[in-house]
Amino acid sequence: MANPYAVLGLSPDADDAAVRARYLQLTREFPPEQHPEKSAAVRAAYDKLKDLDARAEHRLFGGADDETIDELIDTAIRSGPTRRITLNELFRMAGVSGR
Amino acid sequence: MTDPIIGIDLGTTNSEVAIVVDGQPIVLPDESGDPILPSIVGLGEDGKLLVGKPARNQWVLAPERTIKSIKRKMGGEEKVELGDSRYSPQEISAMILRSLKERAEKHLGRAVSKAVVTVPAFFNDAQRQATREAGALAGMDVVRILNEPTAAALVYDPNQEQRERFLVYDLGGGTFDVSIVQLEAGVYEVLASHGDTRLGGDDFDELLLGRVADDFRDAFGVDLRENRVARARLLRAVEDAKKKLSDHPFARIEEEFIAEKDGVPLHLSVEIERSEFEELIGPLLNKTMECVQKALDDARLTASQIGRVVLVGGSTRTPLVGQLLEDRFGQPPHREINPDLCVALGAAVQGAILGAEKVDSVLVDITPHSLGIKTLERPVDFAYVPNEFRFAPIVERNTPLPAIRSEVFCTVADNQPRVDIEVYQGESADVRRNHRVGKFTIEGLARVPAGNQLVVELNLNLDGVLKVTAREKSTGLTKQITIENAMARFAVEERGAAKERLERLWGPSEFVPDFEPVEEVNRVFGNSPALDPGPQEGQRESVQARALLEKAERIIAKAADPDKVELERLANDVRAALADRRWGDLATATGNLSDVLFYLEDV
Amino acid sequence: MARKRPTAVVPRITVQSVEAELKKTDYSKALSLAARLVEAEPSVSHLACYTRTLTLCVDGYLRQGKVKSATETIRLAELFAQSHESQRPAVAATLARCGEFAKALALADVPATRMHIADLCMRRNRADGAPAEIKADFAIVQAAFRDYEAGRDDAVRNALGKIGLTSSFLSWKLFLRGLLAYSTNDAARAIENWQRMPAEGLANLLAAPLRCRIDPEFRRSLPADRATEFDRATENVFSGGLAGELREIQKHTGRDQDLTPIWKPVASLLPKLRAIQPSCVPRLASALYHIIVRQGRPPDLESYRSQFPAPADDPNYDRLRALACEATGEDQFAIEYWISYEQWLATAPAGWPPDLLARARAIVLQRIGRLIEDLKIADEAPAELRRAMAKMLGEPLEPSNFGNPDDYYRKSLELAPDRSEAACLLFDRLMRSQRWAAAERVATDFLARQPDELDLLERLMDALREQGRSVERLAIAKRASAVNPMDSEIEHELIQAYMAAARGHLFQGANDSCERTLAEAGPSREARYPAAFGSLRAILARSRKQSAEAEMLEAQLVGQPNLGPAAALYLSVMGQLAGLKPAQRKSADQRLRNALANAEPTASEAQSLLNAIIDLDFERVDFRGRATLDKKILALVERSVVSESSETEFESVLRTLMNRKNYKTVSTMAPRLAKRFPKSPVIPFIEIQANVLKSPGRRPTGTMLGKLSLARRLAEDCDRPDRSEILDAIKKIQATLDPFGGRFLFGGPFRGDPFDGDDD
Repeated sequence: MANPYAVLGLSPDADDAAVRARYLQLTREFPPEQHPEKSAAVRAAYDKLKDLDARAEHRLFGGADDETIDELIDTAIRSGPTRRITLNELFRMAGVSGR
Repeated sequence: MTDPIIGIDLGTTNSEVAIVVDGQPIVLPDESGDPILPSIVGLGEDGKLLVGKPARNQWVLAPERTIKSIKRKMGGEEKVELGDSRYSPQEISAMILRSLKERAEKHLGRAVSKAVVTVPAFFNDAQRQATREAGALAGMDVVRILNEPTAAALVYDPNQEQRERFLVYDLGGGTFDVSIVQLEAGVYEVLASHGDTRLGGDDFDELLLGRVADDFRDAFGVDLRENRVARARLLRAVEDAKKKLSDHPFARIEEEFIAEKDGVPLHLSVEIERSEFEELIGPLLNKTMECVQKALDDARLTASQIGRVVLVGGSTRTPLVGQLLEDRFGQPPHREINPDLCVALGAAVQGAILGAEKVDSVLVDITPHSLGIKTLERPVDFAYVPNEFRFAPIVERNTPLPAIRSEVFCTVADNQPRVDIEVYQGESADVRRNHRVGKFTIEGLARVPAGNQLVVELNLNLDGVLKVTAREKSTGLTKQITIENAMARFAVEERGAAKERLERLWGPSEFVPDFEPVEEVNRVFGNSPALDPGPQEGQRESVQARALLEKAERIIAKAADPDKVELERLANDVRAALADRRWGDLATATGNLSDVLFYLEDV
Repeated sequence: MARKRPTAVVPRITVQSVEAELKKTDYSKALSLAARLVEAEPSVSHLACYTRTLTLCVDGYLRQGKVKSATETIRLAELFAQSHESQRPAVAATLARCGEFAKALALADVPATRMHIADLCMRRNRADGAPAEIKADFAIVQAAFRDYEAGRDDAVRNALGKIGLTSSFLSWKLFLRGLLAYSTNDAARAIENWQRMPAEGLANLLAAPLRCRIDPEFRRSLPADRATEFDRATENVFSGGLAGELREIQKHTGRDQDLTPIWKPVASLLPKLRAIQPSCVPRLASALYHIIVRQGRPPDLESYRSQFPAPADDPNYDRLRALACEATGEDQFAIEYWISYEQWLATAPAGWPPDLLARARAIVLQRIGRLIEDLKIADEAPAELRRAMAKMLGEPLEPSNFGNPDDYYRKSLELAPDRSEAACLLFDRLMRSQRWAAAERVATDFLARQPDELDLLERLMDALREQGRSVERLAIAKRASAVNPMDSEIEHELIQAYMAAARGHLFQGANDSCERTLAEAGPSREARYPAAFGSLRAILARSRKQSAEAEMLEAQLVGQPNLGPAAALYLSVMGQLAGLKPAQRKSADQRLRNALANAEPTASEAQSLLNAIIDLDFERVDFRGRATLDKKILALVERSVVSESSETEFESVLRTLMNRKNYKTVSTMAPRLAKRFPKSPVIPFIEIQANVLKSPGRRPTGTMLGKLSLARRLAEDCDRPDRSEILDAIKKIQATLDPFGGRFLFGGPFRGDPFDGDDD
């Protein structure tokens, strides 16, 4: 799960009211009906930051969920260099000899 | 104009249909101006299908040909008898839905194919699925199943910047629900839901009936419950008495010639005091108040933090309900919106939101049940045996939807090649007390010591469709299933047969729309017999064929010579079939042509 | 009986036996078998089998590098195709795939042959020896791929326009069109193109990894490991090789695994990551930080430090070490590191908003207090155990010296006055050391800030009860009830508070206040505890000198079935404490003596007497004669064994005795009850428990184990509603007593990790 501050687009000094306001704003912008994945991510991030206790707990102990190797692999795959796959790479991916 | 989406409150006792017009939800009445359709279905003496008031009217005379409170059976396997056939609860509900659909079509002057249908928040997957099936049988696509208390909350004005929390207390004929809804800046958040799917005004009637029948038996030695007609008459009488007790301190029940003993006719005449009635139903209402407290606890709120209490459902007319809530919350509950109609109104509002006719409010609903998997709990103490039936909830109840949650689990044995994932719904720590909704196996795991990590992800969407994914962390090996419904689905062929049966009962639809509404229905009942391509069908095909020929000509102009020959040949086949009005051949020829065109068309 | 005659086993050659040899890659055997198959009967299936064998053998030999055998097999195929026309296209395909273009076309000049020639050109990246039109289209397709790789999509479309229906490269056209769609995230269009490619073509093979990502149906048609292989390969290509290396690291992350092997791959990955995905470097650092917390050892931290800068929120790695020590149970060290970490937080490091910092410190301080408390429990362990532990550790076990947990809780509360956890922990500690006034202050201070906090309200009630301040206790109970009137436990506490307050008033002679309190409680609450409340009312009447009413109430109470002895006890005790004159108490005291002397009390009477004494003890009601009362009550309870009471009544008595730790009484009563109720699984089961608890540490005797099996058998046979619970409990005890019982972990699925065992 990504860094909740990044998901909500908030700085680490955001207070309860700021977190709540951004959550409501994003929920209106990405209603669950039309944006299920985005709204779920917003909600999860909100739950981690919604009050002072949640934010303190998250900052002290919560990093483990934010950055996992899984997430990194996912990022590496998704935001990899935006070049085209070459024919040679296609051969390699399919495990076909030649070229 | 987009397809209208109607809102339907499919209740245990009564049902209504509503729609948003110019931003305002309205309930659609029948010819006599009554907005309420009793949820009663019957067969007349002539075998004609009766829905609503006519069915209710014949119920006392012919209870064996009349069905009430079918909602209580939704989601179960049990069928009910009507005339000489047996029907599933879906089929009976479909008759009610279809009646409401026709009512809406008459009002709108056009066909209706989409609906939002409400269910109690505490309905489980099977019950929700059965409701969907009923919609499909009635010829409608149920675009959203909406929780009733949430629907009721939607009727309130959403344009408030101030945060407001309300508690919706929904006591209908057969179900009870309580939800806490928070409204802030156009966002409705359901904070908690609780309820009992088998508690409602019908139970009050039964209690009252039991009391009167007991007294009658003690006096005359005759049990009125043993005779179907006598029982039906008595039930109707106590229903009326119950209603009267809402505004009067006492009510009389008078039924002449209700029974016979040794050839002597017996009359029933009894007076019931409100206090007596309240004593009877007290335990049931206390149960609802416990649910109220549970909902407060789940939402981590106290009574004083509730802005207003909203009453929904006809059974909330019983004064004791309002009194108990006022005692608890220190404020009189709100009844300004007709408790019988506000669920339907809210369903219409949600329909409008879905149809994007009105998007200034957003709904964040929750799951009322926890979902998780069966795990092996390692013994707490080395001496104890492990617990094989430990329920590990992954999506906890009251989690906002859609919910995507994952948790890491480990294999217990060295070189364990496979893991069974069994998905359960419920609140008990022991899976055996919960409801199993699905199972699959992930195989081919890495040959490593125990402790191989698997990530199990549950993805529950707004319709209660659950996707379960299991992934081996070290290799990324993944397996996924989608659970749409745990219980046996209404088999497709069975559905077709049901549809046919309903059509027979119905006779031709009273409403003949100006344009073709059949497509949607056919899509739902995909196995209806292939239609003879009559003139109308041919018309559509020929339009398509002409468009295809135009496209072919464009491509032929650019194609290389050998390709041109092939394309011309195929195009001529199409032209010939078109000219001779051979619709069957035309379909084949257009298929061939478009197939080949695919290879040559521009990307 | 006829003897079975041995028969000569002549292995019959079948298509399956050929397939088997192919599977074993014994190509010469497969070939000879297939040849014999055709010889025996040249049926269509046999011919096809031979052709297939030839093809697979050629492929196999080539894979093994046995060019000579391959060439020979090709010859064989050619000869075979000469004489069997039906097999020519298939053999031609094989020839084409081996580069024998001319021979292939000579054998069967069909589109399939040409497609294979085209595929081989694509595979070899050259088209020499291919027919002219294949050469021409090859050039077009090659150029199209170069354009595609360079992102010149229009050029690709243009080029593909030249590939017509009859081109041998039609499948490559579909492949490229699909790739174009794939690159613009148009999965539907990509699938539409790719699913039209001929299955045996090379293009289809090459598209598979990508198709398997976007086409669920296609994915399902693949074996699971094949799909995973594809995923792995595409991930690696997409991520520029990063995914593979990250997976290599991930392989070692998991419970109890040694982290040493990950540092080399981390070192080799880092430069690449910095170059391709610089933003991922701090994220990798963070991920590894937490992996070390879970499973690392000190050298891992050193490796980490040599490769990454210190994290901003933990510059001295105190938090990391504290968490890691907690994970391994080294609480002493965890405390030290947490203290350092809190000291660092106290320096108000940059990047922490003040309120968040205060809250974080409060949480850490509370955690330190908790850890010290746990450690203290070890400190307070019996000397014998401490000596044994010291011997095991090889050094004397020094008592920890981290100060008092109370101080940490207090500091935590100061920093976060609205957090109830620290207040509760502090309160509980103070209560355990019987510092009631201090505990009360903690609760009242907190409630002044958060008046509705049930955790503290309930605790405050306990403190007030211990101090016998019943009026204040009742006020707090009412507050708690107002917060949650539906909670049955709070309601129970409220009733007890009413009773205590009424008693208090009575003992002080404030009869009117007592009366008012009872009225306020209301009849329905009084009805919940008839003996306690009833006796209170009777004594109230006595002290008001309304003897007639008192007599009536007393007679009513004592006459009630089952409640008699309990009521007699209450009446006697209440009378004593309410300061009644001896004459007024005489009848009550006599009643109690009579009740206790009852030769044949019922189980319910015994039960109610037990409940009454439990209630009086809990409420700290002390009275003359309390010390000798227990013996008499237990004697009465023992005598109840002969009464006509039911199985469930006796079970309940036994359970109450177990809760009171009256194990001796249980072990006297149980065998006699077991004779009366031979079918009850509960009675022998409780007896075993009592025996075990009576003398803990003694080995179970054979008789005990035998009784346990008996209990289990009875539980299995019974049809009580609580059958499964009883059975579970028996199994647990069996596992405890049986030295081998606990060791076997049966198959089962798998367990959660980490698991917090919060049971409903």
